Amino acid sequence: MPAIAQPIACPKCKAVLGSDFFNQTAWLACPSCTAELRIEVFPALFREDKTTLAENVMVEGEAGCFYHPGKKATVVCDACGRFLCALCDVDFNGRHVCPACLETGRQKGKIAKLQNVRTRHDRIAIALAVLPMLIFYFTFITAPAALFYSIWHWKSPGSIVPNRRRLNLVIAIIIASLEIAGWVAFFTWLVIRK
Amino acid sequence: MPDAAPDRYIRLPGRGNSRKGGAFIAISRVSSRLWLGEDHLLQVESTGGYSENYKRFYFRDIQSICLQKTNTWLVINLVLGIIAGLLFLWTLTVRDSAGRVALGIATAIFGFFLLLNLLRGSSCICQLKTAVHLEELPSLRRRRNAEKVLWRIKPMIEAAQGSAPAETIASQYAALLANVNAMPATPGQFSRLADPTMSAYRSRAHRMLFFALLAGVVTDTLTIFFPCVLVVLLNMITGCTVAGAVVIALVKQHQTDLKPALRVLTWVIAGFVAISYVIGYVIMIVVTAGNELDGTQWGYIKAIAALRPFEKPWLLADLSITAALAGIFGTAGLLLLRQPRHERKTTP
Repeated sequence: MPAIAQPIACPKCKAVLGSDFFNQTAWLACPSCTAELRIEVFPALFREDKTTLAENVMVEGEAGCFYHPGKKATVVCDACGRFLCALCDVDFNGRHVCPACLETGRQKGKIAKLQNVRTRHDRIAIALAVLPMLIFYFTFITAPAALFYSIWHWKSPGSIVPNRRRLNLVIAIIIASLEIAGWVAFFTWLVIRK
Repeated sequence: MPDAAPDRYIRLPGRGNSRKGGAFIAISRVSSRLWLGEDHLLQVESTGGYSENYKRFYFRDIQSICLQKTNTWLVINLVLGIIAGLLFLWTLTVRDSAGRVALGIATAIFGFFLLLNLLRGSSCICQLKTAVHLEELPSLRRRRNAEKVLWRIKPMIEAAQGSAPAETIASQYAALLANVNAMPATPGQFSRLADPTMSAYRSRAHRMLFFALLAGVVTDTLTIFFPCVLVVLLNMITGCTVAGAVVIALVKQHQTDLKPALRVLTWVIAGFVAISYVIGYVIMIVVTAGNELDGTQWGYIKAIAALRPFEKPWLLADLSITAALAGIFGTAGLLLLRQPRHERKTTP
């Protein structure tokens, strides 16, 4: 069943607002709570939800859908080449793909547009290298760990927005290397002193 | 499946924080930023800086963007201004050099945050509506940023959806209102969209808080006139009770239909308690610096009990102001609790 569009309401008091509030350049006061509002409304508010239905039942001599063998195929999946009915056809970046390929791409993290979570390995590496310096004894363990972590995640995907991932990893490697060098120097000095 | 060309994002102005944790108490703070993609807005929510969550709002799906001016900027300026002003005046009256330094630092901290808030400009909230959700954008809580972003993305949304003349929008919206059986609001008469997230307020937490504040008035008065270890201990216990009660009240009032005035008052009391604790901490530093203490809490209590408020004007001022404000807040809260909820005329 298509969803029923909800009217526009004041964010503060939830009173339903009239169309005279829409797309005005000035701020207008809500008739209920007098909060000053500026509302931009776009045609999507009035767009009807079109439910896609599967094509008719396949007749002899026609190609059937891979997932619904009884249904008539209308397109071919651009990723795996399987025949798909209208129900299984997912329009993704202007291409026709089947739900299985989409899910596989999402699980493998190959489709950036479907990624909802990313770990910032570069920041973890920096934190691992810098924060233990407050209690510097810890750097004996954390410096090699930070160095290993930075190298291990050198090619791991970072944030999907522009960031300084590589630079952060380089900084973490430099700091961790300096800490390791410091410990090496310290132990060398101990040995020489004896 | 090979991915399409990766999106190129442009950072949009504004940065905001929101709470995460489901209930009132935040388990973690989430920093939020908006980025502009080719065909969508990307909201990046960063938890602790080590993990990022993404929400995409495609231009073709955005139904409306609503900005609402808020008083947050003004209230923060007022509160910080009053605190900074009072602390500055207090600094001028103190002759003790350690106290003057401590109060000077406190004044500078509040003054810095006041300046920062002044520069960030007036506040608002920005809601973005699609067919499936209504999302508040925490990064657009400043009017200047929100208007800049709106000015920038409006042509892109119109390019994705096409623009409709005002008459068409008005007629289509009238049909939509008729479809859901709602009337646009007029002064004094309005229909409200149901908020399923709100529940009825049933708690005694606020009553407990207001009585604790009134008890605080008594203990503050006793500390002024009869300072001794027992009275100082009582005062500390009352202070802790008020602090605990205000946290419980804030938790209990979350997502309920409690009167807005009581909600605001509870938040004001929370601010008052926080400031009292900061001032108490400053006093502790001053007292510790001026006495040779044994380093225990008991030694500090005895040192406080030894102070005579009538001989220390700054202590007298602190206790008097605290008692007066606690009395005002406690009485106002109890009166508001007694007052029945004023029903406004609504249409179903």
